[in-house]
Amino acid sequence: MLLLRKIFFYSFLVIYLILCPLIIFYALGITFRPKTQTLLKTGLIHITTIPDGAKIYINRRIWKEKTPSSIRNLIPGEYWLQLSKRDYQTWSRLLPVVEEKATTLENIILIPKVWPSKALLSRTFENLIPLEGEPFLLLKNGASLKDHFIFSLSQGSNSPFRQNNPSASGSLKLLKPIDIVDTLSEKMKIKRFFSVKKSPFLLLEIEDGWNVYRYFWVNLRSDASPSKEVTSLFPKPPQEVIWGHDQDHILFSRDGETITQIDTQMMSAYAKIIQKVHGFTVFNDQLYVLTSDHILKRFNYTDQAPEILLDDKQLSRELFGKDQDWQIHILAPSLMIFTNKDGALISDQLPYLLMEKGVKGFSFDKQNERLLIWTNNQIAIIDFVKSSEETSFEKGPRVTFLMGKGKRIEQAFWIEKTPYVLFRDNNRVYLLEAFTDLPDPQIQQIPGLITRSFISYSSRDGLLFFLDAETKKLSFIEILPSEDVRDMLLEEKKVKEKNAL
Amino acid sequence: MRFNFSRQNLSPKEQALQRLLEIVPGALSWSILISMTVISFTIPWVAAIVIIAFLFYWFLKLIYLTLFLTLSYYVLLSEGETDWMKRVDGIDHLDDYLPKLDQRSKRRTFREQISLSIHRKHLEILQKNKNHPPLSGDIYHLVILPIIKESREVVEPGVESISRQRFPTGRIVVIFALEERASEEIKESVFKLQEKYKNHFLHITTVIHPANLPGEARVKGANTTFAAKHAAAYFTSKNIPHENVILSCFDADTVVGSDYFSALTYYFMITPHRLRASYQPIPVYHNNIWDVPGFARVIETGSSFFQLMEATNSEKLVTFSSHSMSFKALVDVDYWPVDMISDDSAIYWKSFIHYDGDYRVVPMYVTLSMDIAATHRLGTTIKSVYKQKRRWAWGVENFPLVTRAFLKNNKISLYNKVRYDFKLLEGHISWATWGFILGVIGWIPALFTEQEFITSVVYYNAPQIMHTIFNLSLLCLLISIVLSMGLLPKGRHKNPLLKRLGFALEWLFMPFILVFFSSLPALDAQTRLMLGRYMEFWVTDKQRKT
Repeated sequence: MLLLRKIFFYSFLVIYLILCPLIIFYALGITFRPKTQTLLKTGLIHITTIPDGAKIYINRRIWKEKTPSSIRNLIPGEYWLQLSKRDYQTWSRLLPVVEEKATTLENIILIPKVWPSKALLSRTFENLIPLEGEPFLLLKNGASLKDHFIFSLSQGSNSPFRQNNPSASGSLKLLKPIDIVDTLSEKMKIKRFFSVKKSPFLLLEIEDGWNVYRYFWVNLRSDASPSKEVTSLFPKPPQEVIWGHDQDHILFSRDGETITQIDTQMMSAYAKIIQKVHGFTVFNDQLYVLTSDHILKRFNYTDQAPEILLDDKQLSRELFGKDQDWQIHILAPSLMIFTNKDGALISDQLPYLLMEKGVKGFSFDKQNERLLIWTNNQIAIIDFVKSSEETSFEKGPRVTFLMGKGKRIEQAFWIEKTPYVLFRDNNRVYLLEAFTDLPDPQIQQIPGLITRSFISYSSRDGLLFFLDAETKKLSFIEILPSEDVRDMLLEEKKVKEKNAL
Repeated sequence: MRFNFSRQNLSPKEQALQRLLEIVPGALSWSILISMTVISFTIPWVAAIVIIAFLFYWFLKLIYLTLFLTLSYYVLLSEGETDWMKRVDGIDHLDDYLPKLDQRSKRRTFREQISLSIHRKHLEILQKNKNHPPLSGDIYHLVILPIIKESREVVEPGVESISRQRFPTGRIVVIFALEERASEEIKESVFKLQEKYKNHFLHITTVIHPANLPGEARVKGANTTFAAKHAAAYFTSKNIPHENVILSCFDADTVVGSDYFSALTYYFMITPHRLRASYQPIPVYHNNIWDVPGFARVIETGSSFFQLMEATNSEKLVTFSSHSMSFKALVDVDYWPVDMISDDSAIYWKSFIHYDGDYRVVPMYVTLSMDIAATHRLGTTIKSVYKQKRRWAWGVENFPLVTRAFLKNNKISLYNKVRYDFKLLEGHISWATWGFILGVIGWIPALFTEQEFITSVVYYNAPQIMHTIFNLSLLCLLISIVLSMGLLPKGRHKNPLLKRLGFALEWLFMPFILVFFSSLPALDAQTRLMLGRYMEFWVTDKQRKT
């Protein structure tokens, strides 16, 4: 037995000494080229698709695996990659491969040749207004109360939308408060409404006679909490009304340069709590105010003494100009941006001024700290992730334009966990690749989708809701197949749990 | 070589060296674990490469060990039906026996052929060697059973098994080494046992070890040494030469098969330098195997496997748990260390140094059964198993002593000193680190990584290589499961097949066991030694369902 042990020991030792370096070379992407008798550093392409199972062609030769796959040992250079799957449009791209690096294409969305849309309701509508961050759509057929409907979406990856059962897909109801207030007429017009992202409340401004307005505080989520008339709290029509998420009964309305604090529970209003206001917002139960003397302050709801966030008047004047109103947006606890009516975009991080004008809207990807912005004809990304590289001059966030050939871009959305942006341009909807490290992002139109109203993308379900231009019916299409949404949500949950740990 | 195999009564210089060497194993293990963790976070691609190199080494070692586990298991299986007493008689009458052995009286099974072939090899060696054994009729067995809190229900099955030997029990001496600090109830049960079995053996007695003797620690070695000295006096008084006495120092719960002492006599007789050898059986933990939680079953089956694998490496085999040795050697080396917990391995090293490297452990392909550490509650069982593993891992206390002895000894070759010392150190370091590397640190580069590593080729290739290695290693796990099923005793179950299937599934605990009942207690023991927080002997809880 001892002799046998020795024989095996030395055999295994030889095996280890020969194979271990080879395995390490393989791990590092180093291959031996017999022709040139040299070691060569290679790269790889890692690709996953939605749905998976697409055939991969590399330089027009079929690869042994379908997606997801890693194509290893590629000599540095450019490769023509093509993905094809039955009933889906072919996807192709010229990709650079760099030694020791992985070119990663995660979750490429394969676009079906026919992307079927499904009508949800038999009723027709003129306009769709998405309420961002909430599972509600506001559907309109005109200006009067009877023409306004709220459509509640059932959510989750097991959404009934996917089960071809429109009746179970959501519920349509008239926008309150018409059924609880006797003095309101169905014919009265909704003049304006105020909403806040990720809040189920709406503040309705209803015209009750010439230049007479009434205000109603409506909770879209709960039938148990009836709508409430709060007209007495608004002696004058407000310019702007906002509220927070935790204490959502406390509202702040702006009238000219003054802010009034309103409590819808206590039915009380404190007029002119702050004056000389040129911009304000609410975040985590704190009020942020930019004053006309160029000071940025933060107030607690209860504490009257403000915290000064920016007191450099020269810088403030250079950034915010004179007598201009600004919208303040807190994207994350350490990230704030400001926009104005001309579409200028300023952040609180160097180099501050990111866009001088033209920004029509934006959407923030919290997980990747990226801001999607759009102008009338351009879509761009601003990456706020700080580089770990130590250099003499700090590299601040910069605007990376993905496309500039739009005609009339109205809306854009991140498709979470994928490298795609969904946008509506001139009544058509497109998918745009958002690889910032690859040149010439591809744009693909969603076939057959034409709409004259707003669209709404539900990132939880991977569904796009729209009013069909021809039938005017509320319809939807699946941008992401259900199982992919589920997988991604699970992955997201894991990441959250890991972070929590 | 005369060497004070103790950390007591050292000169200041020796004391400093001893302390330095005590720090080495713990410091090395911690250095490996900390540096691997730091590299995993800071230079993940380097960590990934190191882990791949380690995993491949681990994988080859796993195949190597599984191969010898299987061979060893097969030898054990082949010796299962051996009539040891017949072989002992044969050696007594070798001239008549050899021709009979060559006669093909019946068709032999493959296993029988294997057993016979090993037997022939043994006899060949014996014949070549001029050091002929005493006649089996002149050989005596001494069994020492140390007792402190083991109840009668734990001890009696073992005594009963010794009384039912095929080897004449009239040449067996049993000594209960009873601690003075044991409870009255335990003392009473021991005396009752002595009374019950007084006519079964040549001699059965109880030796009470006084508490707090000078120079002794509260360890098992002190108790057994006291009893062995009593036995030495007894054998001298009866004119029985110590050369003819084989000592078996058993844990109190040890139960042997009816052929155990025949087999031991056989191995003693066929070993050329039989007085400079210990005899190591394969320990199995069958006494209460069906009464304990699944994870404990898997752990102890793993311990049996470890001994089976080690049995194939007789050059570096070290005594473990219940084992036997020449009584003369025990007396020559001045008995067990009286201040060390790991008396089972320490006596081997003490003898090895005493005889300047001319001492070995002979593997015996015969099993003896012990209890799995357990209580009636899961929580305390977990604690008990953990403490037992930490006590085993405390065997690392041998490293500074052995190294000091090697530094002084001029008769053991440098090659052998390095070989033995490296194996001792490497064994303990891998014990404390492998579980953490395989179960925790190995995954850090993939889980907690930065963007730069994510875009590297290594990030995609390393997990593929690791998965392939782990998948291939499942084959070894499968072999272990199959062998473990074969090693299991027959249970008294309504549905034994279902029970065995459940046992197979219990191997899924392995990753958890590797970290929490292997590496963690070993690291705990090494850290204590490193910090000079010396352990005291802790008696394992052993309870059986009545």
